Amino acid sequence: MLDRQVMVRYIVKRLALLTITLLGVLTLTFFVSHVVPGDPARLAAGVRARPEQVEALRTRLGLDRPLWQQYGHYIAGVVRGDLGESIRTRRPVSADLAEYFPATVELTAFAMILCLLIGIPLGIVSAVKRESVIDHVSRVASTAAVSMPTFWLGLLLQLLFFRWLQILPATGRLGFYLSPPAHATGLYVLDSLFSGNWTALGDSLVHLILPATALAASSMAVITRMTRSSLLEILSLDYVRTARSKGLAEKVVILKHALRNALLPSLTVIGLQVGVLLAGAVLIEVVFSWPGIGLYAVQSITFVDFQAILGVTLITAIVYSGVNLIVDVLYGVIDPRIHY
Amino acid sequence: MRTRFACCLVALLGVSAVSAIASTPADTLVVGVVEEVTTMDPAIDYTFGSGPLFRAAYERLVTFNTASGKIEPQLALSWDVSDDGQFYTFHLRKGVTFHDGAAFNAAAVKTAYDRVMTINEGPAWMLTSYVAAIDVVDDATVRFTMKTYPFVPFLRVLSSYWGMCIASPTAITQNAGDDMGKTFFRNHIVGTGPYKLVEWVEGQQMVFERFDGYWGGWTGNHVNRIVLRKILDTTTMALLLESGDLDIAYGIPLDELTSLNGKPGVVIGVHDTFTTNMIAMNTTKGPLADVRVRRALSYSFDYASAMEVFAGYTTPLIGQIPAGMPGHDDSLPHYVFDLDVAKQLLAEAGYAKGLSLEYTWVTEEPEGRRVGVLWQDTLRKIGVDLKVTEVTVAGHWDRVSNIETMPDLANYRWGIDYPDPSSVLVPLYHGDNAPPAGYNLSRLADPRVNAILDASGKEPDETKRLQLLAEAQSLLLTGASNIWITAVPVTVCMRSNVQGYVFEPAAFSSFNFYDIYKK
Repeated sequence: MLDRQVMVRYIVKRLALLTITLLGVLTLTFFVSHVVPGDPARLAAGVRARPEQVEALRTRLGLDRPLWQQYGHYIAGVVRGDLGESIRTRRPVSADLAEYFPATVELTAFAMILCLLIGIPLGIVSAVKRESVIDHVSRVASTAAVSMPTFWLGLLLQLLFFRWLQILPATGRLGFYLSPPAHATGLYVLDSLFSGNWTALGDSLVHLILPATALAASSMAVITRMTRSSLLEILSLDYVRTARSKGLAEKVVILKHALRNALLPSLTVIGLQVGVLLAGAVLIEVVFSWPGIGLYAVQSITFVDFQAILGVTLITAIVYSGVNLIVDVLYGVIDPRIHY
Repeated sequence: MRTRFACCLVALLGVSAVSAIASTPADTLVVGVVEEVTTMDPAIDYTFGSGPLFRAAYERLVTFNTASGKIEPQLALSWDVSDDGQFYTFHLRKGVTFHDGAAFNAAAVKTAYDRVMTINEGPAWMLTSYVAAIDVVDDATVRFTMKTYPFVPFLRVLSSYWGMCIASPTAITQNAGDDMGKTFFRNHIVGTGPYKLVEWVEGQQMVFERFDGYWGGWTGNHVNRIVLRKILDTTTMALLLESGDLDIAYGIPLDELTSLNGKPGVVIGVHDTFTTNMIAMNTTKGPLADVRVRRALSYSFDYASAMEVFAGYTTPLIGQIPAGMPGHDDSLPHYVFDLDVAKQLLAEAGYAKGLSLEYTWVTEEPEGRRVGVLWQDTLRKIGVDLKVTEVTVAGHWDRVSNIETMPDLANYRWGIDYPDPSSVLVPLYHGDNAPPAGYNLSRLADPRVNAILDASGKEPDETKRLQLLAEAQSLLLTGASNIWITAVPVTVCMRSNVQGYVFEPAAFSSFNFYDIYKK
C-alpha cells in the first residue's frame, strides 16, 4: 500500500518536472526559430503580395509585436490548450496535429512492435546460441542496420519489394482506390478494425510494412545487441548457475530467471529508441510520402511556420518524456528491488 | 483457431498486396504531384499547387489559348469593351450550374469577385488594382468598371486561375461564418467545372468525380475520376509511373529523367514554361552599379554550357519574354559568351586586377547552385572571385528586400501572374517595383523603361504595343540589369495510353482534364 503511494508521489513529481522540461523546450525552440532568417508574414502573404497586404497579415498574426510579447502570448495560449494558427495551412495547429499525428503514431508503434517482436527474441537466441550461425548473422545484420542511413534503407526496400518483386506498395497509407476507414482514432489499422472494414485493414497493414521496417531497422539492431549482451552477462552470474544446478529446465532458467533481469537495460534502451524512431520518422515519411508530423514538420520549417514548428516540438517532447516516465515506472514492476 | 486466424491474415495481406500494384482503372486518371495546396480557397491560394485542382473543378470568365495567343470564352460567351476602356461588359453563358445546384449568372460573378476583393489576400491585387466596381446589368450580363483605364491586358488578367475562379454564390453566402467563408473554402470546392471534389485526405490525395450537370456535356472521350496523389519523393514517383500505378507524373526533376529513359509504356515530356530563370545584379551599390561591369558579367556567362544544368532540355532566353508569349522577339540582340570582351570591359571600369562578388541561389531552385558553380569557374579566368551562397526562400526574400543586405548577384525565378508581357516586364523592371513593393530585384530605375512600360499598358493597338515592348527589351539589354538565362522547363511524364493532354506554358502546373482520356 505504502509502495503504491510512494509510486503515485513519484509520478506526480515527475509530471511536475515534465512541465518544466516542456516549458524549457518550448522557450528554446521559440527563440531559436525566431532567429532563423525569413519573414513569415511575407511568406504567408506570398512573395507577390503588396506591402500593405503583408502588413495587414503581420498585424493579424501578431507578428508586429515585440518578441517577448509574442512569447508571452504563445505560452499563455498553450496553457489554455491553444497552439496558435499555422500560417501555412491556415488553420489551428491543433487541427493539423490531430490530422497528421495519428499517422506518425501508427508508423512508430508498428515499428516499435517490429523492434520488440524481432529484436528481443533475436537477442535471446544470439546470447543462448553464442558464436552460432544465428549469432554471427545477427551481428552482421545489426551492424549493417545501424550504419545504414534510414532513408537509404527505405529507398532500397522500395526498389526491392515495389520495383523488382512488385509485392508491396511504395507510398502512402492506403491505395488510391480506397477511402480511409471511418474516423475514430486516426490510426487506419485500428479504425478499420473498429468499423469492420477488412479491405482497408489489409491495405493499411500492407502499406505499413516497408516504412515501418525501414524505420525499425536500426533500433531493432540496438535492442538485439543490448538484449544479447545483458543476457550474456546475467547468464554468467552465480544465481543462474544455482538455478541450473537445481536441475531446472534451461528454458525456465533463461526465460524466467535470467531474462527478467537482462531486460532492465534493454528497457532503458527501448525508451530511448522511441525518440530515435520519432526522429527517423521525419526522413521515412518523406521517402514514403507518409502524411505524419515528420512530413508536416519538414514543410513547416521551409515555410518558417513558427507555431507549427512549436506544435510539433511540443507533441514530440511530450511523447518522448511520457515514454521515459513509463519506462522508469516499469523498472519497478520488473525489478521489485527498485523503489522510488 | 489461431492457425485459422493466421491463414486469414496472410490471405488478406496477399490479396491487398496484389491489388496494391495493379495498374490504374480505365476510367480513372491518377496524377502524381509533389506540391499540395494548403487552402483550396480561390480568394487566397496563390501557389502552383492549385493548378490541377482549380482547372478540374473551377472555371473563369475567359481563358488564354497559348497556340493562338488569343483570349477565348469560357463562362463568358462574348464581351464588349467601351472605347475609352472604362467598361468591360460580359455576356454570360446560360444554363450553367454549380456543383451545389446554384445557377451561374451575373450575380454569381459579382458575389465571387467581390468576396476575393473584400478578403484582399494573395491574388486579390489583380482585381483590386484595376476594378472599381462590378455591376449586374441583367441575369446574363455583368459589367466591370475600371479604376485606371485604359488597361489593355485586363482580359488576360481575368484568364489567370489565381483569384479568377468563380465559386458558387450559395456556398459563399451559406458558409460565410465569421471569416467570409475562409474556413469552408479551405477544403471545399464548389465551382462549375467538369469535375467535383469528393474527397481530400490531406497529405495524401484528392479525388474528383465527373460532374454530371457539366454544361459541356459528357459525349466523347473523358475519364470519370481523377486522383491527385501527393508524392514528395520524386524517385518514388518515377518508380510508380514505371509500374503503372500513376498515369501522369508531374515534376520529376530533369536529372532524374534518365531512370525513365526507354522504359516501355512511359512517355517523357519536357516543356518550357513561362517561368524564367535569371540572375539579378545589384545596380545600386558596389561594383555592379557601373553598367560596364554588368555588361562584362553578361559577356562572361557561358549561356550554352548553362543549358547543361537543365539537362540540355531548353535554350537560352532571348530578350526577357519567354518564347510562346506575345511580345517574345527572336530577333532581339543578345549577349554571347566572350571572355575577351568581358575582360576589356572590366579593365575600362577599373577592375583590371579583378574583384570579388557574392552570388546567392535559393534552396528550392537547385539549378541556381549549378549555374553558380559553373560561372564561378569561368569568372576565375578573368580575375573575378565569385562567392556562391545558398539561401532559403525566406532568407532570399529577407536579403533582397533590404538594400543593405542585397547580394551583388541573386539567382531567382519569376513565374507570370497572367499571360501577358506586362506580367514579366512591369514587376521585374519598372522602377516603382523595387522590393519589398515588387520583384525588381536589381532595383533598376530607368525612366525611359518606366515610360515605355506605362505607355504599353495603354496602347490598344497590338502591333504598336509589341513595338513598344521590343523597345523596352532592347533598353533592358543595354542596361544589363540581369543575366537572362532561360525559360524553366517542367517535366510531365505519362503512360503511353494517356491521350489528349495539351501543355500550357501559362498554366503549366494544371491539366486539361476534361480533354484527357485513356486508350
